[in-house]
Amino acid sequence: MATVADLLKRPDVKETVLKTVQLDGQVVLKIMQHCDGAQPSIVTGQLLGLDVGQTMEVTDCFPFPSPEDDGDSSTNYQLDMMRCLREVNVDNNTVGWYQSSVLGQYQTQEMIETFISYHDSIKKCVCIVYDPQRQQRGQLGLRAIRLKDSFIELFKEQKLTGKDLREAGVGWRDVFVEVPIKIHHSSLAQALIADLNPAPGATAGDLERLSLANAGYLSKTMANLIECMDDMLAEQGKVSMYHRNVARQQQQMAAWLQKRNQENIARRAAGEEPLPEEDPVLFKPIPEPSALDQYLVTSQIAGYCDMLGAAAEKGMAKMYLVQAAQKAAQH
Amino acid sequence: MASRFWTAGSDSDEEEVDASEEENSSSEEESSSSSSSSSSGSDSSSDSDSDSDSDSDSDSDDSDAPKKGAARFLAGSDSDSDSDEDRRVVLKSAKDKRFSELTDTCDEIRNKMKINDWSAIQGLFDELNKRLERARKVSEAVGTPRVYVRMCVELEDFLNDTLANKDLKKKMSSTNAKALNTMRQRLKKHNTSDEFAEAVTKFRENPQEDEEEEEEEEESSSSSSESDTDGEREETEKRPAGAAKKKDKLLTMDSAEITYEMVAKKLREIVTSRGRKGTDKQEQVEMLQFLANVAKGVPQKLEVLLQLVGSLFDLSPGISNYMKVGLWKRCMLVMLEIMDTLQANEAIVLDDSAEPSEERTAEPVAGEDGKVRVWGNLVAFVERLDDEMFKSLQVIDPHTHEYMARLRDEPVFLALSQKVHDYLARIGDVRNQPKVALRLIEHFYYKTDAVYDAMRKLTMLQQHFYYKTDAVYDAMRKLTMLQQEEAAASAAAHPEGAVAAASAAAETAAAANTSNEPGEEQTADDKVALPVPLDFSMDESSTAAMKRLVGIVFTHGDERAKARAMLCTIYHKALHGDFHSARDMLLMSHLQDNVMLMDISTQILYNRSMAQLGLAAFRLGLISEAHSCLQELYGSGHIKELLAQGMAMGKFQDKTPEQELLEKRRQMPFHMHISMELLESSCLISAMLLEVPAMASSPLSVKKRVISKSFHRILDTYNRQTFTGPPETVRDHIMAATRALMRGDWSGAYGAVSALTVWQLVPQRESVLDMLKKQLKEEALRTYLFSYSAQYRSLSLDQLCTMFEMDEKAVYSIVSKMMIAEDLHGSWDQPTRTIVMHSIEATKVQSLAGQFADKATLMVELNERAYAFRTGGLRDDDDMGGGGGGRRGGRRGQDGQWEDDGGHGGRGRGRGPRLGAARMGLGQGGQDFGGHRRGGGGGGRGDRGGFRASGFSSNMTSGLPDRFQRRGPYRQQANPNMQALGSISRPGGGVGGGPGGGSYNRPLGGDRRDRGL
Repeated sequence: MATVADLLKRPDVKETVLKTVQLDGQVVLKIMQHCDGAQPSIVTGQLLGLDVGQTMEVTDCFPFPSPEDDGDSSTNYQLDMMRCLREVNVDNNTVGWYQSSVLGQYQTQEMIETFISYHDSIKKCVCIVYDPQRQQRGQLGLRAIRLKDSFIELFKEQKLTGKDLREAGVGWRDVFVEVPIKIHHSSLAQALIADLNPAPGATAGDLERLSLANAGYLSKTMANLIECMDDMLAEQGKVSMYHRNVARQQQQMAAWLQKRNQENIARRAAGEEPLPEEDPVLFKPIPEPSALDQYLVTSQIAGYCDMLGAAAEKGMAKMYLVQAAQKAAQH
Repeated sequence: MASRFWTAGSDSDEEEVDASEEENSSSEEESSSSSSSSSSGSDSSSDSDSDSDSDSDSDSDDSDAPKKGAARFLAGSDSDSDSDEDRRVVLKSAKDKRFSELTDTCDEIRNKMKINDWSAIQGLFDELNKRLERARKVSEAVGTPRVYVRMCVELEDFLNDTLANKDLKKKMSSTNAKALNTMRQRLKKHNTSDEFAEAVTKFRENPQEDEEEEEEEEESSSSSSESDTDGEREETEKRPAGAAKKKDKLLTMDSAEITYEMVAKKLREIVTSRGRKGTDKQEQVEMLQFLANVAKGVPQKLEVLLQLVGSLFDLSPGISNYMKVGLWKRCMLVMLEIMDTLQANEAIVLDDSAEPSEERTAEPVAGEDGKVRVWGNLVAFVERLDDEMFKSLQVIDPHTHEYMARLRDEPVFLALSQKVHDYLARIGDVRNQPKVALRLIEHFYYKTDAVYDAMRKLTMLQQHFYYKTDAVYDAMRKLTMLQQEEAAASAAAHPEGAVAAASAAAETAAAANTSNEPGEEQTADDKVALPVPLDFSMDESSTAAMKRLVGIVFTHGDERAKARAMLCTIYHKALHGDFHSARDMLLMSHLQDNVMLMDISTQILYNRSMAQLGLAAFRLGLISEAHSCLQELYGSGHIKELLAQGMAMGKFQDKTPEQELLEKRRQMPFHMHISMELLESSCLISAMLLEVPAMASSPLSVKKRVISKSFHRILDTYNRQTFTGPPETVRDHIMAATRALMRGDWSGAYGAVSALTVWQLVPQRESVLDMLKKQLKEEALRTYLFSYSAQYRSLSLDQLCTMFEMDEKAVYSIVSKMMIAEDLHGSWDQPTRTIVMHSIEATKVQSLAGQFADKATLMVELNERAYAFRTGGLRDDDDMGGGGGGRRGGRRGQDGQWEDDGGHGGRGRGRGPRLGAARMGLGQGGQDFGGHRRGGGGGGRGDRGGFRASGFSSNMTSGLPDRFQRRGPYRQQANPNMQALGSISRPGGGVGGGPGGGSYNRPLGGDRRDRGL
């Protein structure tokens, strides 16, 4: 289905479609600082900036207080913060939010709901997901995510059964869209970086990158993957149960209709009024289970697979490297 | 009642029979309506006494009695007062008692009359009235007792006399005179009342007054002569109802005078009245018995006898109760008589298709083939007798002597059945012959050799005892004394037949004893002596008997009979330890396939066979076979019901009384029971032996492969116990053994298991225990290696040998097997005789990856199912069966075990190509046999079918691990080579034919795994 949906995916004709997210350096640093500091709990914050055509410029951000910090003031915090920032002439236009994630888990129902609620006011809102562990492994832990418009429409209409999604041509890949990130620095900052003149990477003794110990990461991801698989199986069970129920109901319906038919024939023969052939009370249509969870789980699985793939790729490369190095050492 | 004539009128008999009879009405009838009896009385005037009684016969047509009532006795002469007198001594029934009271009072009044004591008379008269009321209540008669009326008349007369006699009156004391006056008034009132006026006047009109006993004779004869014509008239008027009267005539006739025609007519009458309301069954039986004696010619006698058997069956009440033993024995006797007659007269053929009630007046002549056909269905009788015996054994408490005594009747029944069987064979009735043969089989199949021998001895003994062939008997007796001990020993050693054997032994003893004090046995009415015919002899061994009989059933029997005979044979073979041929029979007969469609008693038989098969396998040490046989029975939790050995006292069942009754009727008699404890211990021990190493091999594995759920359940409860006391029940013992075995402590396990008491029930107890010990050692070794191999760097062979007290070879082979199966990560180091362990523990990631692969497989399979459901429109359950079977097959495949649900898959016939294609498209192996059986299945299926079949053929020799629980595979099993050939030569698709050969030797499990991963 996914492939079909892919084929059907139309190029976005809207002019204002979001192509890139441009993050200011300080935003990245702020997010990293906030999320790394709060590990392993998951934290969120507000993104501020400007929507410029196809680019979403994020110029500033501030963290939300974590729920356990202070319960009642958190609602006012955002407003107060915005007001303060406006007073110091910072962009105070909300464009989205950021959040940290553990091992790339972000595809949740709440995420979607938040997106939808943001969507009401900010059409092009984005979410920056930051994965500290990924960052630690030397990969960019940031990704900008938004919901696909077609999905948003469906979600708002709550047409989330398999049939609806299929008809709309929305596959599991069409729920979240990743938007390329571009990091932008002010000229001054760039000048500073140039001035810092860091030592070339290769000679810096960046041995971190050569670490072979990724078993923990792999097994953790694997375990997550298995968990997802269980969820998937549960979902599958729901669907097949639904199908079975439908089939059974149809059978019953057929039997009932037949009986009613015969009865009617008999009644007609006896000169009586035939009974109505429909009985809506007896056979209520069974609600089809929502396909959303499946989509989420699937995309989660895809995420894990990507991660595993990347990790394995790197691991392999390193292994070869080590092997070659050992051979070289022996000779 | 007729019995009075020719069974010398036993009192007890009379009492019963006369229950509905009223004394005076009987005497009335004597005079007025018992025409035929009195006429017969005149015929044979020599026995006048019986004559006076004979009246009672006639009131069996009670339609007459009430109508005529009082009027009748007034018309007739009456001899009763005196006959009453001499009867009152003997009569004991309530009604008769009342009458004797009445007469007593009358006599007393007469006495008082003589001394003119009116005050006494007055009191007595009151008493008389009271007694009359009571008598009426009891007898419920309409008329007034004649005794009473006469008394009234006498009193009146005497009163008038006294009144007329003035002198006398004056002489009287004042109290007496007063009493006289009251008496006069009362009598006047009394005798003129509506109730009595008529009776009194009639009595007065009738001049006859009987005063002397001697008169009776004359009178009765005279009255009979007078009513004789009357009776004849009556007879001509209503012939059908006149049965009773004519009967009397017949009964008293000289047997020489009775013609064929008379008997035939009589018989027809009885036949037509049979089953009608108001027919006295007992009387019919007696009549028939009489007729049998006087019947002219053998065919007629047979007719009568057959009818007699039927009537005897009528005597027993309903289907819910069992026939009384005495009655049963009488039936047996009659049946034996019939069989003797048939044997003696070969020209007579019993045939239930012959015309039953021909109007014949003369003895039937032989037909053109020299045969005389008589209507009758021996088989039905035999079956009925068998059923009745079965029922009685169900009901009788098995711990009583009664039960034993009942079991002793079995030889006679066997003899009868054998005779009937031989007879049927002689006349070539192949339709009914198997039925009798099956009955016989069902008496034989559950008997162990010891029991059978005991039964055989008993038969001979009974024969010799009853026929007093003493010379042989003495020898036999000595022999029996020896045998008896032996039988007792073997009975103790054998569970199922224990009772039977014990009873047989006891019986031989009893028979031996009774010979010393003969006559004891025959005293009770119940004990009809039932001799085993001399010409009956049981086969030397039960196996021979079974073989002979089963052959007959297989040649001629219907489907059900064949199935039952087959099951009996399987049971019998299993009982005799021939597990393999029993198993082969079971598999080849495909009984599993359709046993669910059979009737319940056959299903029970099937379950019994299965249980016995399991026990046989267990005795032979075929643990996994035993387990698969027993597990389903035991695991169901309804084993009692399944084997019909008691009612389940389930909490959650609410059965209707009808269901309960039905179930009760299905119960097996005690002597046929299979010991529950033995079953339980066999099943649990098998489960333990299989389960403990399996648990040890994968202690933390997520996908726990459960071999026996019930075992796990028990183990869990056992482990949850806070305190575990010393073992008491079977379960406790086995759980204690399990614990020991889990530690690899075989001797502890053996100690716990061998402490079970049930082993006493097993023949060859020693060998079974040895087998158990060996098995326990092996499994303990495996468990030990599984559990603790990780703790060793290397393990010395010698050490293992000493630890498990096994010889080197055995240890070597077990360890090697484990290495090959990759259960044990190690290798032999030959020079040092050690096992060197390679700790190749899978890393976390690896094991996780493995798990993930499993999950993925599962999901793909589910997907495939869903897909097939959508596209193929397969029926839901078919699909599930196939998919589920495949999955399970896959799992098991990894251990070299396999299992198949082909039966389910096979149902999806005709949709093969599409489904096959679909499954191929998903890259998933359809593992069921369906494609195979479908013939024209898709190419992809052909491929798999082929290698699947190869799995079978290669496994043929290695026993059949799991198949007992599945119904599907047997078809395959029966002819694996054919299957394999079929898949090769099938023209379907290039893919299908090709790899068939190549895949032949591929291990099933490996292949599955490839697919899965």
